[in-house]
Order: sequence, then C-alpha cells, then structure tokens
Amino acid sequence: MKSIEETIKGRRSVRKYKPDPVKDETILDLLELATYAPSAGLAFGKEHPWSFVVIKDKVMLNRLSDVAKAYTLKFIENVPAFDWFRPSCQDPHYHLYYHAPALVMILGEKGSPISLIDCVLAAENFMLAAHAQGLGTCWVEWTKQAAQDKALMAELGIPEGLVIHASIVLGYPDEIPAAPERRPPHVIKWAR
Amino acid sequence: MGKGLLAIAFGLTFLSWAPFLYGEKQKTKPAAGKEGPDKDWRIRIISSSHQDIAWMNSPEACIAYRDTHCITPALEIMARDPGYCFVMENMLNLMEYIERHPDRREDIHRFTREGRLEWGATFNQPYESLLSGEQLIRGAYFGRKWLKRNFPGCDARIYFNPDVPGRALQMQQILSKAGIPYMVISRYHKGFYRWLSPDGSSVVAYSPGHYTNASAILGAPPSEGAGLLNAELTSWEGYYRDHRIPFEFPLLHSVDFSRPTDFGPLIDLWNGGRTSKGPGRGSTLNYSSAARFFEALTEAGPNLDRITGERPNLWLYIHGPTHHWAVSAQREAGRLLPAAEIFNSIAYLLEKNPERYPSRKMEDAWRAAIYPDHGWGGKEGQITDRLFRKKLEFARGQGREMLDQALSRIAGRIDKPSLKGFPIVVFNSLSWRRSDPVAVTIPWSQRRCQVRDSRGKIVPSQVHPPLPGQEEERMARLQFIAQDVPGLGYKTYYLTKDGAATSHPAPPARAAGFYENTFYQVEFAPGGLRRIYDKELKADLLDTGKFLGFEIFTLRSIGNGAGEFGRVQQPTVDHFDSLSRHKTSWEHDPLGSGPLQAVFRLRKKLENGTIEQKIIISNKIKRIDCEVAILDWDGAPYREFRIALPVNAPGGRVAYEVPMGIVEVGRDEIPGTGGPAYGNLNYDELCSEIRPREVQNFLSAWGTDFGLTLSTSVAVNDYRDPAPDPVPHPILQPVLLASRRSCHGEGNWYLQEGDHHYRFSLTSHDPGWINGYRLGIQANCPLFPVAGAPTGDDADLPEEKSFFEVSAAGALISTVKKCEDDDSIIVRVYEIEGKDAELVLTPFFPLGKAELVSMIEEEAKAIPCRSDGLTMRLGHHAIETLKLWPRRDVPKGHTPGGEK
Repeated sequence: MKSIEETIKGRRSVRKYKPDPVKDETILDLLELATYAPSAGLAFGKEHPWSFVVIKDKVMLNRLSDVAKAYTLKFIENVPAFDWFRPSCQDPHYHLYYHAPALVMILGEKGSPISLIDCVLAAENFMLAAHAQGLGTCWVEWTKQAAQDKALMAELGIPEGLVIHASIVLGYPDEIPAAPERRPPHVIKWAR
Repeated sequence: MGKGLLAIAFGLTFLSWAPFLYGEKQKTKPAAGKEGPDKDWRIRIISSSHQDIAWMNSPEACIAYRDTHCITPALEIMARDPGYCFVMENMLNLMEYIERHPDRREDIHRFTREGRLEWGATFNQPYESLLSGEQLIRGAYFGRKWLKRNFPGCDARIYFNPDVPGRALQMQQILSKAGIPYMVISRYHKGFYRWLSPDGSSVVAYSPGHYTNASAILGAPPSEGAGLLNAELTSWEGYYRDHRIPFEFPLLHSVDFSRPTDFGPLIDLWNGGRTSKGPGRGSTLNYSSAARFFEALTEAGPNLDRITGERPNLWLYIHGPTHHWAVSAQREAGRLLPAAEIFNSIAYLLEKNPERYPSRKMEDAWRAAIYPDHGWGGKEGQITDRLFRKKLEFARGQGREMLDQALSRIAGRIDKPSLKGFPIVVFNSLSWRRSDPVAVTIPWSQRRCQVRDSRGKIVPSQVHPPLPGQEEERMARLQFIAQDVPGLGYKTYYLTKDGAATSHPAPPARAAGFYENTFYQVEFAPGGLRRIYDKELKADLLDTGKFLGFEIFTLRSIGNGAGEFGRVQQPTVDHFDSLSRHKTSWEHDPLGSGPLQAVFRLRKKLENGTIEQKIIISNKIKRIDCEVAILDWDGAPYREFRIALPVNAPGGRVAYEVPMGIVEVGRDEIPGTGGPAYGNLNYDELCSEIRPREVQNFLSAWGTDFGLTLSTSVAVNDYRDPAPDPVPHPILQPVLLASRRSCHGEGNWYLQEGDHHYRFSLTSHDPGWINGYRLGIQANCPLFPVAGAPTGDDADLPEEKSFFEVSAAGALISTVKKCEDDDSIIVRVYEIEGKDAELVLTPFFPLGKAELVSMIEEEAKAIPCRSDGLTMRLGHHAIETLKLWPRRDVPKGHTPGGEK
C-alpha cells in the first residue's frame, strides 16, 4: 500500500483514459471512503451530507458532455477570462469527460456553504482513494453548467434542492501527466 | 421482493391505487345485486407492507421511503383513527426508524403496547436454510427479545416471511420456543396450518396463496371490493367448516412497500349492511393486528392441517451461486461467532470477570451476520449487494478477532512447562472429541522440530513451504494431526528440538496416475478421479461412467435466482464443458506432500477463466480434500460451474444438513407441492423433487455397501445428474458459481468477476448419514491452534481439558454464551440423530442452579442439577436452551433448583 505521502504527491489530474470499465464494487468502495471526509453536516446531525450520482452509461456521458459544453459556451460569452476554453467547447470531437468510463457527481444542499465544503472534502478523499487503487480522476467543473438543463437533471434523479458541488471523471489512466512543480508553502506569517 | 411482478406493482401501487391512499377516500356505493355471506364472519383487514431491506431501490433510499411513506403516515393515521392498525414485518424496520426519529419513540411505544402497531417478531425475512441454526435463532433475539427489552410492555408474536418459497425444517421449533406462535407465509396453498418441526413443536401458519392476493379486493372500488369479498368468503366457507375454524377471516393488505391505506369506505359500506341489507349482512369488517386475528383463530381449537418437513427453497440461486463471496462470509461467520462466544464465555468464567465478555462487539457482529434478508440485488442492487457483503465480512472478521483474543487468554492460563518445548494449544469448538489436521505458522528456524503431545509422544508432522507473501519473513507452516482433542476444550502439543529420530513410515505407494495409502486407492484421470477404492469397506466409491470424481463442469445457467417462477430455473447443457474433455494432467506436488498427505495438482485455462484444483489425500485420517479455484473469471453472463462426485450407489439415498437438523431427500420434505400462488403461478413440483438444495456443512449418499459424506464450502448443492439421460446413482454437486441477473427490471448482474476459492472434503463409512455426519461437520470447522502463548502467573489449567462434556451421541452444542440479561451462562443443545436421549452435561465449573429457558433466554423453569452437572431428557430433534448459574453466581434468595 502506498504511503499517504506517496498517494497525495502521486495523484494527478488524468485526461486520457483506457476504455476499461471500473467495477461497481470499486466505485462503491471509493464512495464509502469519500464519506469518511471531515463533515460539519455530519457533526450537525445530517444523515447524508453528501449524495452521489454515478454515470457509467456512455450515451448519458456523451449527452451530458454535449449539454455542458453548450451551456458553457453561453456562459463564457460574458466571461472573457474563459475565452481560452471556447474552441474546445465548439469542437464536436472534444469530450468534456475525456471518454473516461465513469463520472461521479457529489451533490449537496443548494445555497449551503457548509455543504459545499463537505462535498469538496469528500471529493478530495475520493480522488486520493482512487489514485491509491491505481485509478485516475479529474475534477470537471463545467458539469455544473449542465445543471441548467432541468429535464436532464431530473433524468439523473437529482432532486430540487440538491446541487452538483463536485464532478469527477474516473477511469484507468492511459497517460499520467507530469506533476507541475510545487513551490515551497507560502507562509505569510507564523505567529509564535 | 415481489420479483418481476412486483416491480410493476410498485409503480401501480402509487398510480392506480393512489386514490385509495389515506385521506383520499373511496367513493361509497352499495354493492347492487351482490348477495351477502351466509355466516357471521368477522373480517379483519391486516394492513401491512411487504418490506425487503432494499430491492425496490438502494438500502438508504428504502429506509427513507419506509419512514416517509409507511411508518410516519401510519403513526399519523393511528393518532386520528383509534381503530386503525398497521403491521411492519421486520424488527429491523423499527430499529431504523427509531434511529431516524428518536422523537417518535413515545408514539411508537404507545401504539405498539396497544397492539395497534405491530412489528414482525424476527429481525428480517431470511432464506431460512441458508442461515446456520444459531443465525436463525438470533433473528428472534434481534426481533422479539429486542422489542421487549427496548419497549417494555410490548410484544411481537408473529413471524412474517411471506415472500420466500422455502421453509427450514426446524424453523417452527425455533419460533415456538422463542415465544412466537404464529407465522404469516405465502407462495403456498391458501389455508391455515399447524406447521410442525420434527420434535413436535409447532406454530400456526397462515398462507393467503400470495401475499398480494387480497389487493384485488382491497384495491377495487368499495362496491366491487365488497362483491369480491363476498365471493372470497363463500369460497372459504367449506374449508372453515371442515377444519372447525371460527369464522374469522384475514384480509392481508400487503404489497411491496405498500403504504398505509384507508379502507374506511369499504368498511363503512360493508358494516352498514349489518343492520340494513348491505353486503355484510351481519358480518363485520374492521382493522386488526395479525396477533388479534391469530388469537381469535386459535381460541376455539380449530382442527388445522398439520405439516412437517423442509420446504426446499426455490429461490436459492440468488444467494450462494450468485453471491459467492458474501455467502461464504456468512457461512464462516456462522461458525466463527459461536466459537467466539463459547471461548469468550469460558475465558470470562475462568477470569471471573463478566466485564471482559465482549457483549457489545458480539451483538454488533451477530446483527451483521444476519443482516442480509432475501432481497439481494434489485434496483441499485450493486449497492445492496455490496452492503450485504460488507456486513457479512464484518461479522466474519469480528468473529475471528474475538475468537483469537479469547483463545489467547485461555491459552495463557494453561500450565505449559517450558521444558517441554514451544507450546501449541489446539482448541476444539465442536462438542465432541475429534482428530483433525492442524496447521500453524512457525519460525523457519524451528522447521526441523518434532511435535510431541503432553506425554512426550511424537506426533506425525509435516512442514510446508511458507505461504505466498510470507517467504521473506522466514516462516514455515507446520501441519500435524491433533488426536482426540476434547470437545469444547483443548489439547496442548509441544515443538521440541531434541533431535529424536522421526520414525516416519515408508511413503505410501505412488505411481503415475495412482496413489494408495492405508485407507484408499486413488486413480487419477485427465480432469478428475477415475476411482476411489475404500480398502476398509472394500468398495468402489465412484461411478465415473459419466462424470469423474471431483470433475469441474460448466453449464448454461439462464435465470435470475429469485422471481415469479414455479420451479427452480435449471441450468442446461448448452455449451457444456468439463475438465475431462480437455487435456489436463495431474501433477504430484512434492512440496505439499509428506508423511501426512499426498497432494496432486491440476491447472487448466478455459474460455472464461482458469481452473486450479488440488487433491489432498490424507494418510493419517480417512479423508480426501479437494480445493478448487476459479481464477480470473471474466463474468461471462449466464454460465454456471459445478463439481461432481458421482457416488457408486444406484438408487442410493441422499441426506444433507440443514439448520440444526438433517433432511433425507424424499422423506423429510413437506408433502405435496407448494401449490397455486396467483394467476398462472403455480408451485407445481413435488417439494421432494425440488433441487438443488440449501446445505449447511455436508451431504451424504449411501447404498447398501457404504456411505459417502461430502463437506461442502458452498450453500447450494445438487445430488442428481443435471444432464439428459440422467444416471441412476446420486451425483453430489456443489454449485460453485452462477452468473445470473436480478429479476428487477432495473436490476444488476451477478457476474462476480475475479478469483473464487472452494474446499470440499470426502470421507466414506458404513451406509447411512448417521455414520458420517460428525466428519461432515468437522471438516468445515477447523481446530484452532494457538502457538507460543506464554504461561501466565495464574496458569492453573491442565494441558488437556474439556470445558463442557456431553454424554448423548446425538446431542450437539450449538453455542455457549453469556446470558443477555445477567451473568449466567447459556448453553444451547440440539438432538440431531432423531432419537430421544438422556443428556448428561458436565460443565467445568460447579453448578449452583440450572434452568430451562426459551430460545431467547426467557421463561426460566428450574431443572434438577448437581454440583458437577445435570442430567435431562433431550427429546428427538429437540433444541433446548439451558441457563446455568455457576455456584458463586446464584443470586441471594435463590435456592439452587432441585439440587440433589
């Protein structure tokens, strides 16, 4: 088993995947580990601070990718800072989920900052646990744009009141990118 | 789990039935033209809801649904309608609800005490014969006993298991002796029954044919429903009269996950006819609990049809073959947890410290060991199945851990003179003296040591290479035969370095494809064993004309395991394959072979995986083991693997172990068929013909010359040739694996890709299962060695001891445990041979008082005892629970019961 340091330092955002499917059992193991993340919601007695949607259906992944790209294009019309992403969204061959065999969404309460933090912490657990098992992940923020398609969200069983806080593709890496150099921690002040 | 039909019904429940939900009352119209019943029926609507743990959706979604759509609405209805009653079938439902709604405890307590809110008396609804006897009994601990303890003044007296078309031989005795006198079943002929276990204890059972059948009446508009009810009552009238049953009629309203429903309009319509000329005509229709119905039914002493026997479960492909890893964990937990209880109880008694008994941990482990119900798979079944498996693996892990801890503590109290060598204490969790192989891991440096017993006699031993992964740790595995280890006790051995010459006899004869030792001549063939000759009995054990001994074969296996079918979905010989069709050869394994055993291996890659097989022929005990691995199984859909043992006994008889009993095929099943359920669904096969079967530890087959017993590591086993033109002799066949799919429209596949491991043991004996059952059980229940335990300062135990001795041959102890309610000791014993016996039980502690208690440790009745034990009659097939008070623990004011 990898050490915690090896796991953290070795995790990469993977953008090229093998077509091999990920077993349900494996995904369920990862989801269980995600729920061991720190959680204010749990401390306050919430039964489910997180909810999950798992998509392995290729047709649905393609559709979600197309819908998210379309809404993203609209979004970046007014946000020039994201112009760099426009060509990708306009490219019909560009797949938002890199043809990964699975996508996992972590859902939380709409409008709750605590819920957002809970979900993001769970997402980090999920990604680290996946890496520890030889799987690759990549956080795909643009999925949230697809939430504007209410019919699609309903089809995915996402009820009103829950929002996508994290969207992570999952699969066996076909290519693992090099790690960008990390600078030493930037400590502004160390009060003693 | 109403299977395919009810996946649809679930949707319909909330569509077509929506107008009938509480608060949206049915429109009342008189039943024009319908004639009322001739008798003064008292009709009781038992408003219930069939609840799998999941199946309809993921477990979490179902828990939430039960809360918001079933229990909470039922509480609301009960608060405003004092006549309303509602039944939830499982105690687990209450546990889940209270966890979510601690604030509703008072309401629940009140309604339950009033008898209007009713909970099933068992934890859940299992496949009965899949569970061990102790696991079945724990269903009542986490059922009725849990309710009585957590909700004082409340009781649960009815076992609900209406979905599973299978009944265990001894279930009625367990229920009856746990204070649960009634049972609601279905998928069986409509009727009321006195359902007995072979000891004579019984429960009263009700089967509506199928549990959803009354929905036709209750789901119809009231006027139509009244007409249908009239017709139904008329159809029952003769049956009631013939059986002298009082005119009490149950209308069980139960559909998968059905909501509490207001039948007020139908009730008003019907009862309005009491004084006028309405459809009821003097009959009454009201809500009722199931308990009140059964009490009214039995009060007049009706003459009910009597049924005894096992109803072989039709839904067995859904567990063992399609969930091999999970069910293996459940079976192992079923053996480890009683062992852990037994030795933790002994440790506690030795240390005189009840605080060290791991009560909480034990409770959690037992609850996990029985958590899965009959609803494997279903919608989001991958989540349900994983949860079930995790629970069972947790139970198994806890069992191992608690057992190891207890054994170490006891081993530390044994006086083991250090001069005698490195100690190995061998523990026996079964209640009879036995000789079996033991393997321990020892430092590599000690691999040339001798094993000696406490008197210094050298015991034959054999050193194996380290296990994979332990090579670098310089460890070796030492195997020896522990002879005559006392029942529920231990025996101490020593490793010595005295260099005394090992006097191993010359190795038995081995030639190409042939092996012979004291017991057997074994002939190998490509893919299996051509011949096993028992030298003692002078008998050829196998008929290998069609299948070889321990031959693996594969079949097409289309089906779902559990669903709306009247007969087990049998595999077919499409794409049949077997190892004998391939060029496979057995290789002698020189590293695994030695004075204790000879090992032969085979490996063959097939289309969807690789088969590895190991035959281990023991030279010191009469036993041949077969280990099988299916490696890298790719999960091809609808395939099945079996292993064959063709027994050379044409027309031979077959028996197998069920929870706390034995079923002989063709003799011990319930008579007749399961009968019509609904529509075209008819369980039309004679119960005696149903196969394969759920088996605990072993199957036996015998003819006139010999008997053969096979210990099996799998839950589902067949005994008849599955191929066309079946041979007349039994073919014992563990079903290793089947890749089927849930019957739910959105259900998961049960593919089980990966590695699977199995183990089987064969022994032969005189004809009759009775001559092989102990070997059949013990091959699945290994001896537990503790190596190198230090001798503590307080070590006062001898080198060999039995903690509980039992005299009667057929009396087996299933557990020894600390009492749930005080510090006394519970001993559960059952009679397996079918003979009345005089039981002499001798515990290792001075006995102050002994009581006979119910299966859930209540209703104590003092029985005579002596300081050194007790003698009592143990009826044939009886399961008895004894409560023993060590002399020091007899509470003040208690007179030791009947002490001589």
